[in-house]
Amino acid sequence: MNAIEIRNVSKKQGEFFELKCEELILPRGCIMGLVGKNGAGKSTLIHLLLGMIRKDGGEISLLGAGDAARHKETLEEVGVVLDYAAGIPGIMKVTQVSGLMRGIYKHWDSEAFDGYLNRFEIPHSKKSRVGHLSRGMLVKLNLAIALSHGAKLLILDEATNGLDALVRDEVIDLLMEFTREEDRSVLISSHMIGDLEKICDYVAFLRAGKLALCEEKDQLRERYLLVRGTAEQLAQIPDEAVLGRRGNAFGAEAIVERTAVTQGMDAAPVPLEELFIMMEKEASAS
Amino acid sequence: MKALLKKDVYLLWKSAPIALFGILFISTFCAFGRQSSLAMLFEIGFFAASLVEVILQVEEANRWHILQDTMPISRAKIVFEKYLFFGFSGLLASAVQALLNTAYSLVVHHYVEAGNILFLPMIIFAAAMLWGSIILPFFFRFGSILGRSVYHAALAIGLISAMILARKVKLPDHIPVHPLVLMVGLLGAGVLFCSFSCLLSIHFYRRRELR
Repeated sequence: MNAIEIRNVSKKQGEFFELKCEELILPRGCIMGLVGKNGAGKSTLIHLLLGMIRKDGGEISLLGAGDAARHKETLEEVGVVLDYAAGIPGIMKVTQVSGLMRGIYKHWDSEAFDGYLNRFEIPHSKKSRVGHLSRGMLVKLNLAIALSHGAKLLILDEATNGLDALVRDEVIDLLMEFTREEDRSVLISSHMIGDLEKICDYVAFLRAGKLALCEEKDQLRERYLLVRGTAEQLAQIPDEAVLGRRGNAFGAEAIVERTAVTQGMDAAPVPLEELFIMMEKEASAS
Repeated sequence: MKALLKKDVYLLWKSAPIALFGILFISTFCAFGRQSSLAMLFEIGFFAASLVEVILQVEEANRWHILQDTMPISRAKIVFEKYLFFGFSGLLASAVQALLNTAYSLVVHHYVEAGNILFLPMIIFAAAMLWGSIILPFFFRFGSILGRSVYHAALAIGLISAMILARKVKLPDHIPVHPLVLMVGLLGAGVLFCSFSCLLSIHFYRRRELR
């Protein structure tokens, strides 16, 4: 059973934006990175997944449960960290969060939550209020909540954006630790593609509301190479084998299917960030 | 549900303690100043019910309503909890009034007036139910900021229409019904109105797209 299955889902928002997702599948035990530039539809896709907004058509299945069964029982097993700070009212004390969540989640584990508070060094004295926490601390608090009720699926919507490198690294460690158990999965949307590259098994790329690519990261790396050379050298590669290209005064580079790379070309493995930037640029140019 | 109610009480206590003292002040004035006019009792009820507005505004300002929507709580339950909360506020205000009236009667008259203890607080509770039932569908349909503006506009139109209607239709000075029957009737009508309002809010909130 897959953690997430999305098939032919569409959602129109306003006059100019329509999300269309043909097929996105996240197998259990895997981490999927959802990337795309601002306004590409990442948050819309996550809101659709969680049932916060209604889809116009298609099928969504979360942890094996279809639309009708999704709410409540399924959400017991889903931990969510959203892009904006916290959500827990700022005037509440950190020590009250556990009591509130115990009343919401059936399998709330207060000890685990206290453990995360200590591990993340989140101040939780009797006087510490949620509103006094920094952005990094708020993300950690939300992560602590998401991890303390036996979630099988974690969904992070640009939660690590704006955090310093150290905190992001801690979050990455935590996600890797989380997926050590085979049936646990993570869907994470982020602009920090370098971070995603470290942890993701799958990558989904949204461009202007369309799912442009959804593939295993290793397969992507296997299939494409970053080729550097002069504009003339790169012009010899057939267009259909080029995923994206860019050039400047010092030379040119292109992302090319491995099968089209000939001997003598300066080819190297392609970093995900380069892949997406070039794909985006190629799409904008065409 | 209990945890959510507890959270709401805490949020109210921390964000608007002055509103709670306001209720206590007007109630004391009503009881000891012998100023328990219908308008003042209604005012206490309205004041008590509108405390739920404060909670909804605090929650939306912190985007708690978005986070809550990712948790295993149905939207119907979220709406119902808010109705319970204003019912609870109304009951609390009524209880305070009943206690103060009892205290006044005991101190001044050395006996307890059943009318003061039952009937007057009942008016407060009915007013709280009425007010809460009117305002909440607007909040669940439009959110706390727009909802507030819309219900103020709707209320102004409603009041002006009622005033025009009252001038045209002559209402009887005396309703020939036993006070107890009137009380039960009012309570029944209040519960029906409240239930209808709750169902309407659930319908609105389920259709609302949160993002």
